[in-house]
Amino acid sequence: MTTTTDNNRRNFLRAAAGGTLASLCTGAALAQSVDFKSSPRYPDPSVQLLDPSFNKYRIYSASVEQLATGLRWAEGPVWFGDGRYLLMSDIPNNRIVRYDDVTGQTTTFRSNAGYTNGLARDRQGRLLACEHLGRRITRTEYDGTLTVLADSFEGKPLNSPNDIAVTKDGSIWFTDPPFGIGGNYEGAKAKAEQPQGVYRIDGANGKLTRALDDLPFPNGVAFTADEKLVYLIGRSPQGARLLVRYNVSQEGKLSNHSIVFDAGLTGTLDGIKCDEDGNVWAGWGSTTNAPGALSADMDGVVVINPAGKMIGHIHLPERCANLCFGGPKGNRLFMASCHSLYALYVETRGV
Amino acid sequence: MHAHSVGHGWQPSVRYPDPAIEILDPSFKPYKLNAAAVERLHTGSRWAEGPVWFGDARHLLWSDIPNNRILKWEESTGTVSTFREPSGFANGNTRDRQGRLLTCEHAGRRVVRTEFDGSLTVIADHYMGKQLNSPNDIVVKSDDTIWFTDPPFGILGHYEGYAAEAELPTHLYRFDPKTGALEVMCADINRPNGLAFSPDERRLYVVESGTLPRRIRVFDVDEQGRLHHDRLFHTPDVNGAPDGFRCDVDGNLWAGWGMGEGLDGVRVFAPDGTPIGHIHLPERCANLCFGGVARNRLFMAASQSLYAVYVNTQGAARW
Repeated sequence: MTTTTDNNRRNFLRAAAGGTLASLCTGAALAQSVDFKSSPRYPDPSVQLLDPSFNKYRIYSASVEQLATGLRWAEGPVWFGDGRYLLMSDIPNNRIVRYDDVTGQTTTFRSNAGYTNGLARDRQGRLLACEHLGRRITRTEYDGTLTVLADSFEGKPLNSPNDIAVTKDGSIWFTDPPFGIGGNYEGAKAKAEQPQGVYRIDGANGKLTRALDDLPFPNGVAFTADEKLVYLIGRSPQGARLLVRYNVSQEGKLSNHSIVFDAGLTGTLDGIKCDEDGNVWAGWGSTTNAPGALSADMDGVVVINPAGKMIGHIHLPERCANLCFGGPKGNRLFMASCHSLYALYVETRGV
Repeated sequence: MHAHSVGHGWQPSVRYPDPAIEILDPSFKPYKLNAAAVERLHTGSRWAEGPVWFGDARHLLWSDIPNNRILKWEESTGTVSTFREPSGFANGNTRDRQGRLLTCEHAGRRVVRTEFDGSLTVIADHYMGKQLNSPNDIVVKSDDTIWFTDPPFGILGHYEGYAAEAELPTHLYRFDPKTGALEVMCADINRPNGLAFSPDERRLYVVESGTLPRRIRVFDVDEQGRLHHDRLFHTPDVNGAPDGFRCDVDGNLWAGWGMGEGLDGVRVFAPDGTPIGHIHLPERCANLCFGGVARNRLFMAASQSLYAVYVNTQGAARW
C-alpha cells in the first residue's frame, strides 16, 4: 500500500517537474523568476492606505497575486476581455508575452517584436504597439499583419515611442522620449533627431501632429473618463519625475499645463491609468535606493487623486513600470513590474 | 478529457505527398501542396463545429457542442484550452467586420456578439415575437449584415442543447446592425445549415439538410442582398453529407463532408459544381475555415478532432 502511494507520489513529482520544464522552455528561461508569496491573511498588508479616501477603493478580501514571472523588463500591459488574455511587452527579450486568464499560462505571443514598449487597443479592438527598434507605432490587423501608423515626423525618424493611449474619436496619442535609443538593451542605440514630443494621430484623417515639444522625457499618458483632461509623466529641470495635467480641446490641442505631483529626485513615476473617479494609478519605485528612499519601501503602484494627493500605495517586491485595468468588469489591476506581472482586484474601474 | 480520443490508428502521412489529399479533377492540382500533410491538432471533443480564425490573437476558436464549450487552439504553442464554458451549446462562429466574435447558441436559441471587453450582446433571439429554433451557422457580408441559418437541430434533443418545440419555420435570416432589422431572406429551405458567399458576394451557397440526401443550393445575390435564381449546386449520392463550408479566392467551395470511410473529410467543388478534390479524414467534418497569416491553412472541425492542412490557395472571407 505504502509502496503504491510512494510510486504515485513519485509519478506526480515527475509530472510536476515536466510541467515546470515546459514552462521554462516556453519563455521563463529568458530571465530569472522572482519568488512571491501572496499574503495568506486578509487584508493584504501590501495595500497601504495613505489617506482615508483610499479606503473605498481597497477590497478587504483581495490580495496581490503574482500571475507570471521570468521577464526582463515588463511593460505595456493591455487587456483583451474578448480573448480572455493580457499582452505585455518584455522589452529586453524583444517579445510580447501573453498571459492567458483561462489557463494561467504565460507564453510568447510575438518574438522579434521590435522591442515593443507601451501597448493599447484602438476603438476597433486592434492592438497598437510602440516599437523602440523601428521607432514607430504599429497596428496589428485582424489577420495578424502589421500596419505602420507613424514612424517619422517632418521627414525625420521618431525617437522611440514609449507609451500610448486612444481617445473615443479614434485618435492615438503617444509619447516619444529617447529611452529606447539610449542603448542596446531595450532597442538599438541611435541618435535622437526629434525633440521629446507628445504626438497625436488624428482618428479621422490619420494625420500626425506634435501636441507638445516642451515636456522633457514624456512617458506615461492617460485620459480622464470625459477626455477633457490628459495626464502625462515628464521631468522637471532638476530631473524629478512629474505628473502633469493638461486641458484637451475637441481638436486635440493641449493647454493649461499644471504640475499635479512632483515625485522628487527619488520617485519613479512611469506608466499611468485613470480610474472612473479621476484618480491616477501610477507605476512607482525608487531611483536611488538611498536611505529614506529604499526600493523595498517604494516599489509598486501609487494612487494620486485629482488634487495631487497620494492616497494609496500597493507595495510590490519589484518596481512597477506600467499597469492596466482588466477582467470582465475592468476592476482588476494588472501591474507589469520588472520580472513579473502582478494583479489585484480593486473597488473601481479603469476608463 | 471530455471525450475519448479516437482514431488511435490514424497517423499523419510520413511521406509526401499525403495520399489523404485526393485529386478528383486535374483542375484541383494547383491547389494541392505536395509538401504538406494533414495534421491532427487536437482530439477529445464530442462534436466539433464552427471554427473561426483570429490572426491578431494567433488562435483559433471552435465549438464542442455536446460539451457545451468553446475551445481555443493557440498557434504559437499548440496548446488547446477551454475558452468559454458553458457556451450555450455554441455552434457556428464567425467575426464581424470589427473583428468581434459572433456565435450561434443552441441553448439560448440566439446569436450573440462578444464585445471587446468580453461581455455578450444578443444580436437576435426571436422573430415576429417567436423564439428562433437554434441558430446553426453564420457569416458576415462586407456590408456588415449578419446572415445565419436557423434549423431545429439544437432543440431536437438534449445532446446539443435543450429539447424544445420549434415555433418558427426553418429560415435563413439576415440581421442588419445599422437598422436592427431581422429579415427572412429565404423561407423555402428545409433545415438550412452551412452557408457561404462567393468571393464577389454575388452568390450565396446554402446547405439544405432536411432533404435526403442533403444538397447544396445556390442563389444569386443582388445589390440589396435579395436572393434570386434559386437552383441546385450539387446533390450528392445518398451517403454524401455536406455541412459547413467556405470559398477560396478562386471561388471554389470547400465543404465539410461525410459520412463513412471514403467520404469523411472535405470535398472541394469548382464554381460550376464539379467535385475536383477530396481531403480524406478519419472522421466526418462538420465545418471548416481558412486561417494563418496568409489564410492558406485549412482548419477542419471533424467530430472528435481538429485537423489542419496547408493548401495552395487562400480563403475568400477574412475568417
